[in-house]
Amino acid sequence: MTTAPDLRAAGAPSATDANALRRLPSRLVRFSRRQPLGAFSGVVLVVLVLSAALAEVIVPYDPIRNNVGPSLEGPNGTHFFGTDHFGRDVFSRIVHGARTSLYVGIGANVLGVLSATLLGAISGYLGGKFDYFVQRFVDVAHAIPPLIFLLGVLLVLGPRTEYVILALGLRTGLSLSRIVRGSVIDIKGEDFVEAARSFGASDARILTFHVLPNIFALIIVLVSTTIGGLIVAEAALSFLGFGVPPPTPSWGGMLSVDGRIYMLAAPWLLIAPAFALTLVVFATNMFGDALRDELDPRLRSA
Amino acid sequence: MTKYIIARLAGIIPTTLLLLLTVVVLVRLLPGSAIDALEAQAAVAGTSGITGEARAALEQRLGLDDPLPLQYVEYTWNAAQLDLGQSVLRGEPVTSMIERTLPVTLVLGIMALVWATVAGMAIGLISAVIRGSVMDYVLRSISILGLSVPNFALATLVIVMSTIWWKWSPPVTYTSFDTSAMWTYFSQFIAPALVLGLALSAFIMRLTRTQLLEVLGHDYVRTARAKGLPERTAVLRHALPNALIPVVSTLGLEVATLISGAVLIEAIFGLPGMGRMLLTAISERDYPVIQGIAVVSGMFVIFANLIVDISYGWLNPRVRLGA
Repeated sequence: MTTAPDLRAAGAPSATDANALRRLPSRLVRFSRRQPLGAFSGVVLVVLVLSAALAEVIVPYDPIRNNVGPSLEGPNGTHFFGTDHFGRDVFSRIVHGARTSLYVGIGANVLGVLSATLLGAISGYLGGKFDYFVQRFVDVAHAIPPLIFLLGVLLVLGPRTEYVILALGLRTGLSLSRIVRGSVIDIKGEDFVEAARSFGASDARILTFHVLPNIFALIIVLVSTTIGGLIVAEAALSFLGFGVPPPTPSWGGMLSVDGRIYMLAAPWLLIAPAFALTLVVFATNMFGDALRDELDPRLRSA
Repeated sequence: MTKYIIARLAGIIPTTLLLLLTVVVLVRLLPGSAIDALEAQAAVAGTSGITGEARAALEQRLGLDDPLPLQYVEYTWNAAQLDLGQSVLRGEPVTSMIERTLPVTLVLGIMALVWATVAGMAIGLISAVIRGSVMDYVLRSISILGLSVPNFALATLVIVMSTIWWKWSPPVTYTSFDTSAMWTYFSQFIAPALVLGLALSAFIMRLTRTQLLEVLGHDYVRTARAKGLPERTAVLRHALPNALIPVVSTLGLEVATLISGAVLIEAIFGLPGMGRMLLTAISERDYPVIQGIAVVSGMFVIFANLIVDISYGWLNPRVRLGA
């Protein structure tokens, strides 16, 4: 194994990279013509990422400071989405909530897809007894309803944002590993794998250079189609009080049962986070679908 | 077919044993045992804590002093006899607690499943038949929206907004089942079941539509049309049954999602089901109850998938004859 390809990838853009960059605008236009909803969703996601990255610059108030205004004030010029019962600015909390959602969503996504790829590829490639045992564990993880599984793991780990990521990543990894495994088993039977083996390539080499590149599109699809569910899962856990610990702003936490008595007098407390969640889930789902159709039309019904 | 069913039934055993192992190990990993929770409770009540001999006796009663493999064998042996231990805080057998709360969750889940399946399949069928029309586009947009609204956000929205707009709020007290008050009993489930089933019905609608569109392009449907069968017969008798096979097979997977959703919906609508009991048990660190609920809901998912696999074999001759 040489290190040359890695150096080139990390270094200055080569001639082909520059070409791809020049063709990017026209490719984007074609994409939005074919997938208008996907393009709209892409814009929503860009706004989401920007608000998460620039939260401090965008928001007028500290999201966790009490009494920045009168409590339970309706939406107006100074407090765009009103204030909550602690007199905190709801708009600031929504924008910072985007950061929490993305942090947990992307963190769990990366962890989940990486572990699914590792577990699924090794289990599917090796087969035999190892595969059998791994698959029985995957069966059990599937049998326990996701929320009960997550609550159980978080009960063991304790309340911390990073543990929420770990629990969600673990669960996602176990579920997605089945899909990766199925795909690897298909590829394992291909002639080019046989050919590589006849040249004396090791299992590790075959997995890395022959199997993985062929499931790359699948991995991108898994990344893009699971992130919406993860954002909802984080919100659901925080809603129940077992997710991101307060006062960190989380959309799920903002909807929680404790705040419900105030919502009757101040419905904006409910509408802002519910709308933000729905919009982001809609955008991630639509963007994921559009990306899947572009990358691998065979997976369309999956 | 018999051989296929027997093979699937046998496949349940290792999964069930592993499920029980996971549950026993998970509780063993927990920081702060149920005894600590009892102690905290005693401290709040102002009575003396549990120390020394009393603690040891309690540990022995809960089987916490046994080595892990022994705990596992014991738990499995008892579970096989429908004994899931006792609630630490209430002293009540977990099985009887589940017996009391499970029917609530079942009624909620079945109502959600039935409306989601019927509405999802019907709208999916209509949408496929009128594909490309404005109405098709409207139906598909609604289903995408239904998939995107998180159920707990929608449930909160339903409760808060109906109180504000129509001064209607879901009943605060739960009415138990009584043959003389059937309507009062079932009506308290309508709103929760509608919310719980919404995402599932949208999912079924989309799947039914895609599958039906694919099947409608097959030769045998063209043949049915070509030999002069009315469109109704071609779609309903020839295309639909085949299109529904993958829809039915995903229903099994959705049982786990429904149980997860029921935890949230029961908490929001105040229904005294197994999900709400789970949340109480978690906040009280009542481990035997948490274990029991995890086992029972896990068994539900395992059996739902078994039923789906068997019905899949029955619906699909290739699986039935191949096995």
